Amino acid sequence: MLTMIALSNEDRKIEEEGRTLWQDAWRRLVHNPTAVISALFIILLVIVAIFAPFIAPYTYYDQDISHARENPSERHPLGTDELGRDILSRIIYGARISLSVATVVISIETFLGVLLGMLAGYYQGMADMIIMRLTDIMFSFPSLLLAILIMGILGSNIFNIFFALSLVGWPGMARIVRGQVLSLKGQDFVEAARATGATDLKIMVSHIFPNLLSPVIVTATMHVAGIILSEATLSFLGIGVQPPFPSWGIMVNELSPLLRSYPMLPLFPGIILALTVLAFNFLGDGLRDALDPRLKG
Amino acid sequence: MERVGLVSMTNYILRRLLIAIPTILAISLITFIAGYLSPSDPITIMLGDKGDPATVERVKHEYGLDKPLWEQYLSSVWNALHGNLGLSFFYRGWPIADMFKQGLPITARLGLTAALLGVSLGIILGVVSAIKRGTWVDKLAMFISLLGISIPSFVLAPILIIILAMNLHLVPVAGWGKPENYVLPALVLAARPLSLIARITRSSMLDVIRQDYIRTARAKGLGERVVIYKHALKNALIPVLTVTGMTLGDLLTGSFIVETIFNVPGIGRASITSIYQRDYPVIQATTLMYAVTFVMMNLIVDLLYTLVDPRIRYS
Amino acid sequence: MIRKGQIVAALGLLLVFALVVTGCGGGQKAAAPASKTVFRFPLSAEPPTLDPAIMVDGVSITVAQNVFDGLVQFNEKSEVVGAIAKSWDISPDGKTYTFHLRDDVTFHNGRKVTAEDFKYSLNRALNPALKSTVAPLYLGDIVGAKDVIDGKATEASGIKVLDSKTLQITIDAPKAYFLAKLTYPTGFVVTKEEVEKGGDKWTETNLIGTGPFKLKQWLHNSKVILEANDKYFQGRPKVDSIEFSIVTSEATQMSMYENGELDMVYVPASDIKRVMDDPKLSKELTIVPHASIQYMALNANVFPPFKDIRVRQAFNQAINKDDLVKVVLQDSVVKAGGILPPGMPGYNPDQKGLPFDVDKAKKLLTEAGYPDGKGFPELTIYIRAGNATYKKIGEYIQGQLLKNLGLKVQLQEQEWGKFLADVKKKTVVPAYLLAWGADYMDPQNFLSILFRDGSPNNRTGYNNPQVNDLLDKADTTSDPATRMKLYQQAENIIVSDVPLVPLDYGRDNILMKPYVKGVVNTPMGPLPFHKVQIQK
Repeated sequence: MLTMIALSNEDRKIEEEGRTLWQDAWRRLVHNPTAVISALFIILLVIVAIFAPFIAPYTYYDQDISHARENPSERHPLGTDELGRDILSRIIYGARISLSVATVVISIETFLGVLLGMLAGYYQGMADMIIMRLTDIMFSFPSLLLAILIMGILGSNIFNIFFALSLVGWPGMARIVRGQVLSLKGQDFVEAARATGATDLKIMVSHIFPNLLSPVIVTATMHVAGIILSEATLSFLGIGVQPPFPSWGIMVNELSPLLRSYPMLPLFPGIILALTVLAFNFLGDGLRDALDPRLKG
Repeated sequence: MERVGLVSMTNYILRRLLIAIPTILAISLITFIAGYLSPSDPITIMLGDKGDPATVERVKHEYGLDKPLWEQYLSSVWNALHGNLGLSFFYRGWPIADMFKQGLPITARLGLTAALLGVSLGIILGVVSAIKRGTWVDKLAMFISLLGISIPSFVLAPILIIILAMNLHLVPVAGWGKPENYVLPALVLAARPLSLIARITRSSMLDVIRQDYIRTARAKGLGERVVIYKHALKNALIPVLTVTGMTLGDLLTGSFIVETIFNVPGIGRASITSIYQRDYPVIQATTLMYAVTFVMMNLIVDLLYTLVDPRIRYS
Repeated sequence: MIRKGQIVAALGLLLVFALVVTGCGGGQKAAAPASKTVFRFPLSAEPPTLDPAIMVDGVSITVAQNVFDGLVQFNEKSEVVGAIAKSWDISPDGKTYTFHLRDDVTFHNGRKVTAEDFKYSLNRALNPALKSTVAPLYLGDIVGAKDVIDGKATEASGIKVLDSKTLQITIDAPKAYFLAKLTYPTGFVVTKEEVEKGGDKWTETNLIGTGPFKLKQWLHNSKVILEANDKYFQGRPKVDSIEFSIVTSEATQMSMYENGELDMVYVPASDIKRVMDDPKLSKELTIVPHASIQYMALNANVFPPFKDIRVRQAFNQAINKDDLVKVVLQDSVVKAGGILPPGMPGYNPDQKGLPFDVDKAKKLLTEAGYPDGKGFPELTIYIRAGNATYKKIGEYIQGQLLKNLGLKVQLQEQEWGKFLADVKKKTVVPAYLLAWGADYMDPQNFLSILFRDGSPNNRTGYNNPQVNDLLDKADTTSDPATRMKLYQQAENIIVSDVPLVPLDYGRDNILMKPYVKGVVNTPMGPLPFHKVQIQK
């Protein structure tokens, strides 16, 4: 009876510590101007992507043939492409592709990575062997080459992009999670939970998982930048979403032949792509500093 | 002590190499199956719009493409083990072994040049901005490194071509064979590692400079240069090494894109082309080569860690 | 504090090191001495092979035609004239050709060319061990060729050596276009002893022909260097060497030309307007028709509405091809009315095709039972993936059909190999964009191959008995004027039947430095470069 009370007190203490930990992190994050600006930029991008039809002056496929290949003007603020399509509108709709690829892929690879990483780290033995060999195989392979290979086999469409990028993305997450689980497993509060007869599932879900959150969030945020860049590279190589859907990589590809004649046009999607990648990198940095002050660089 | 270290290191290397064998076999099997699952075939691609279906079928038969999958795989492994990498479907009269003989040194030299450029410039940039923290030098260096991280190579390459080749006429647009041909591809390839290394060097230097023993060194009246080089830099290099190890992979991946953009006749370009052409024997050979290189590079980086940081043990 | 000097020194050291690393490569030779004249020309891909018996692509041919010769060749007017054959007789039934060879032709290794060499080369191309995919197409008309292809014989009975300077070839039916087929590389003469000496790699180690140039260096994926053959029987080349740079990106080729790294280049569509507006570049521009047509195939085998001629006509008339050519493709091509491209014998300049007429197109579609596109089944147009031009055209057509007919069609990019395989099955792809380029300059190569019922390249289920009759008659008629008239009659019917929508004819927009003289550009690309001069 007494021990039970003691334990629940202990639990509550951990919970309180947890809350203050998150609050501290939040305080640190909002005091980091780069991270805040990056986060605002990303939020803005998400809003733009969601409300694209209301924000974009044209659709992504309207062909204003009599104004094709034009530098920025009042009619087309960022100019038009070779079919007379509004570049600003296509960038806005393109945000949908980049962000949805980023969202879907990061969700799948985080889910897979956390699941497999926890299984490997918690049970060790055979499960660990198999999962770690799998990650070894994935790691001994340039991931972009693998993605290109997969896209080449399956053909180009957005679902295959989801698949290809998730497939090459999960091992990184799995390794980090496994490492964390290994060190958490030996700690007192897990031992204590096990002593009270908690099931493996319960221990993993309610004791280990909450402690994984901060490294997982940091890793995932950092990786989003890589996913967006990979999607753009695949699209640039001509193995991305189907036309006439715009993706920033596709736009750079489509507009780069104009680089000599209209140098400004291909730069627009290139700049927005670079800014987005940058924003996710900064936010990732900021989150890491906020969540794990010891790593602050 | 020395001997024990050497023995355990040799053991460690052997163990790692043994683990690598099944990994590499698995990769070869995966690429092989993947190639054959593909709905496309090299003969049709080779033939283009010309020729009738009967000719396609006949030529497929002559290449043995209608044999069972396992038979084709085993014979390719058998041949590879005997040093025969086979023939490309597409480039008749250009054996894959020759493709490697030509392409590998080129890719390796380009990669090495880029690595050198990235690591040395990166460290210099990082050290300088750490020392000149807060000044415009620091800000400029960090801005350059930001660009390097966030601009994809396919955007950076055409910009550099226009500025350095078309406007300033410093280097040729493309081509191969002369030293100046290395400049653009190496710069683009080095951009990302350079920037990452510069940033990590800077923050790691700043960390170290704040540490007690550096203050002590300074207090002892040691010259600033001695402090920076002998104490700070050496200790700051450990995280730099980690990042360098990570970016070596980037160099390898980057070589596909960069070699394609700048017309470098290396193995990366051959590899991408083979994927487009469904040239199975070349896909198989190049992916395996990349896998082996990757495994080796990871091993070397891990070994370097133990050299730099004696606290890490072979496990 | 680190002084500036140290940084500079470090950077300098780095540069030196980088140069040392890159310099120790070896294997690459420095450029030719300045006194030698070099013609620098781009190739858009690595030549898959330099073996003339198996080559299927234009890049390989561009190189090979400078190293090898055949019995006959095209001249600047796209007429077949003698090469190694100085003359020939055709039997009255039109089936037997007797070639009389020149006796001053030697291979690069010094040996004289005889009729035996041609017999060897043609039979070699047909040999199944060589796995040639083109030999059946170009040499398949020769009597006995099929037996060699099938492995039933080693020599085609239709190829006979009468004496060392006389070769007789018999074909299975009178075919006015047979000589044109012999100009293709499968008809080039190769050197038996060198092919055998070189084995699998003879194209690198023993590439010996009779042509104006000899292979000097082939750095794969980078460049092919040829040097002049002093003893060339059509006169020693005016330049000492040709440097073919292998550059896949059109934009890079263009930049290299402007940067003085190439002497000749094909202008990409995106740069045409800029070139034309540029006072210097516009003077260096030459425009030549290219014997090819881009089209959208409407496959009635797969998509039942295309069985209705009104639907096919509506599709044709709803697409504004003037805008397509002028705006989207920047006048890099010419609007297509009919099927035969300019420059091709039988080309009909009066063939305007069905006019762009939105009202008419709407009316036709309504008559066919789809008022305002209502009830029209879902249609997908397939295009080749990774090709910017097809993508642009596809997106443009998608926009036109939506705007002018109210039809929402899908666009599907498909990887080249799968695309071709599906298109060739004839029963998979409902509509697709593709181009047809001339293999030889004869209307048979376009009309009979694309529209005659039963031809493997007639893939849309088109079968008009009247057209079949006209084409069969034209293929075997020997009088050129009558032949061309028959082909034009067939073309008229095909144009109004719309088995495919003709979009544009190819055009080569060529930039050449003012110091380059003597390049002969034809609708099938440039002739061999032995008359090219560099006058700096």
